[in-house]
Amino acid sequence: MLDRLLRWKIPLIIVLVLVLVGTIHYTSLPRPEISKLEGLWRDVLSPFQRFFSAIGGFFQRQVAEVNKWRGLKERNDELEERVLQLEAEVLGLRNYRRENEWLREALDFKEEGNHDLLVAEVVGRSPSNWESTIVVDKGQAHGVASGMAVVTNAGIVGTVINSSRFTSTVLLIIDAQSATGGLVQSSGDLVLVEGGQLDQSTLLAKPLSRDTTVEVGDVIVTSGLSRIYPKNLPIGEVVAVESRQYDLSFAAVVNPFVDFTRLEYVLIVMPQGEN
Amino acid sequence: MKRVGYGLIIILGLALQTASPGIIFFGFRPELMLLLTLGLAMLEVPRVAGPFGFAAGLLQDLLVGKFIGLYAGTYLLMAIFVGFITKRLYKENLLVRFMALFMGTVVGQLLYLSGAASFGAPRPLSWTVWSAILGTGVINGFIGAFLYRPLVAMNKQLNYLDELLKRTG
Repeated sequence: MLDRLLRWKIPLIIVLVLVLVGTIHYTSLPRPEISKLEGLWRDVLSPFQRFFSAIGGFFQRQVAEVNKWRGLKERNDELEERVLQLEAEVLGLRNYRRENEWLREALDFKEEGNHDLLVAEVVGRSPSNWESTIVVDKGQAHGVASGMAVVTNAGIVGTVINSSRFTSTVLLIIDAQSATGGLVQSSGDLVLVEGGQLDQSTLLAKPLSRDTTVEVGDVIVTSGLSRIYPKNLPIGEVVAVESRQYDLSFAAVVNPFVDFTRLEYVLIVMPQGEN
Repeated sequence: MKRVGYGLIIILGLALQTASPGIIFFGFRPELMLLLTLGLAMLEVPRVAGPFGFAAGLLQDLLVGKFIGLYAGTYLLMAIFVGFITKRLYKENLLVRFMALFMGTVVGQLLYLSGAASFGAPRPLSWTVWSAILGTGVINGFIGAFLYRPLVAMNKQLNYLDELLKRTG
């Protein structure tokens, strides 16, 4: 019996290893589209993600509110108590107002930039620490395709890397695999803005020529050379300039304008006439 | 029944892990699927924990969309490895549980990164990566050490229901 089992076990393990190596190799290469199984699984999981995101968002807002109230508490305990009561009562209405303000700003942004934009809600994030991606609730059914730029009114967010029917995955600019063409607004010098920083909240701008000058406080915008992001969209502000390679080169630490920990809605830049 | 229960745990675990803004402790996100796999490996035989790890990894792979099969293979190996190592350990001790989950998480992540790197992923083992690995290991160790008891109770209940269903048809 054991011999019989072992006889089948070894070929099975070999087949499993070969299949795994094959799929890993196949999916390690860039794919224009994800498989139907992947799309279906993402669509199935997205309502659960949305549910947990809503709970997480609620707690995040509560924590933010508590932090905000802490300052008031120091000034006036009685007043804070009253504010707490009122805040609890109007929390629901406040959420609607915040959404409304955001959409209003998005509309302004749309009119200013003359872009065709699609509003999408963030419903999920990457499952591991090794990717910085988000999942939004718009997919192929809404005309979203890989390669489209994703922005907010504050600045650029990332690029759509793949889409299922009802969801899309966006590679954030803070991801180690992200590189964006940037422009120093004050000098017009070109830089390459890369992610993958330890804190996962800042970017690194590397000069593309020797003459590039960057100073603390400079604003980095998109260069428009990549054809993914429209030109002149804000990326971030330089907060430090570090010397590299025996002072022959440098890299600037850029603080992005977008707060990636609090992303709730984003705008997908659609080709003209798509949305 | 047990399989349905495990399936639900995987779906809810993955949804929780990928929810936005997600669970973050001191800047590190726990690897929930790896944590559940290691936890199950500590209380079940590899014949049960291995397929659980494989399924959890494969579903995570399908979400990531890159190197499909690598998480599945990694979690399968880790379930067998940790199950084998902790077989003779006294798992009621909090420190033993913490160390087993910490080491399991670190080795699991190293295995995944090495696999990804051998298939062309650009991620050298820099200080950034090491700190992320160790940070996640500590977070997983802490959460898992305290989550172990509820996991044991839940698994016991699933085993009971499974047995009940088998006997009553």
